[in-house]
Amino acid sequence: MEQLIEELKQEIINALNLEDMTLADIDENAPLFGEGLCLDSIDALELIVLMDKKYGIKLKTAAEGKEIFKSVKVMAEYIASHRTK
Amino acid sequence: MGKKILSYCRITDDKVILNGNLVLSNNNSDLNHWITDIYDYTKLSYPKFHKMDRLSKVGVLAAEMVMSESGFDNDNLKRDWALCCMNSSASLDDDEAYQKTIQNAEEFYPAPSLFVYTLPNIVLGEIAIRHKLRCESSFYVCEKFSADAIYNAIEDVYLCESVRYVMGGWLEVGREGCDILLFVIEESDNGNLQDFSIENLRNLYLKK
Repeated sequence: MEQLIEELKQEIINALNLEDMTLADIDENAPLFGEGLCLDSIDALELIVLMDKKYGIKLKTAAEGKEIFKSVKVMAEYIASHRTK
Repeated sequence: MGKKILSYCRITDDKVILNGNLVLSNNNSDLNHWITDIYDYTKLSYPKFHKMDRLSKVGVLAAEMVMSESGFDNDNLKRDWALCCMNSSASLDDDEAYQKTIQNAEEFYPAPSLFVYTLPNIVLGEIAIRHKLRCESSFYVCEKFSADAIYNAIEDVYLCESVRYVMGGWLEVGREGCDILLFVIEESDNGNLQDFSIENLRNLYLKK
């Protein structure tokens, strides 16, 4: 799981163009939206695409995304149990 | 009562000047690292900053410095303001990055996080959000820095009677590097402040 969390942090940095951030700057337990990285709806779109392209996970509803994108750790746990790639 | 320059910030590839004082020098960092150095200097802690394009980042940093120097917080809503800036390359830096995401049919992905910055006035939105400025904003594209054009555009902004303060200037970040002059103007009778004039804008821009 640790490896997946680190990989996911790097994928998020790439997808959201967080060029000046490092893996250590991202707290895997911090909320992704509102606090933490302060992501917004545009970023949510990028995360949905990331889940599909990198891990073969297609999210069906916005409510589903709200649960999955709570934190990097929650995302990683969901990916680990649902990935098709 | 006249229009006065409350504070100004000049950022180039090699230095940051705040109200005439050299506050930071660049030790041969590339533009991305230079922006990080300025971010560290301002002690800004603003997660949204890291998602921004380079134009917005530098604009937000310059705004942070001039607002602080002018004595404004970023907690209270500000309604008697206006924003008015210019540059020469618009959002070309971002336009090119975005274009690369739709260049090849095999890897066609119009990235939303890049697309949102493909207008130069987005930097003004980022500044307005940061400092709670509920105000009109205008952004013009001009071939090169023109004190006359900036002065005249801001004079037009002041035709609106509700405007007391204007944050304005030149915000250029692109292939040629970083070239910023950002200032805050206030209707004031404080004789210790510089007048808002074409000559003074030109001098602030040219000051080494």
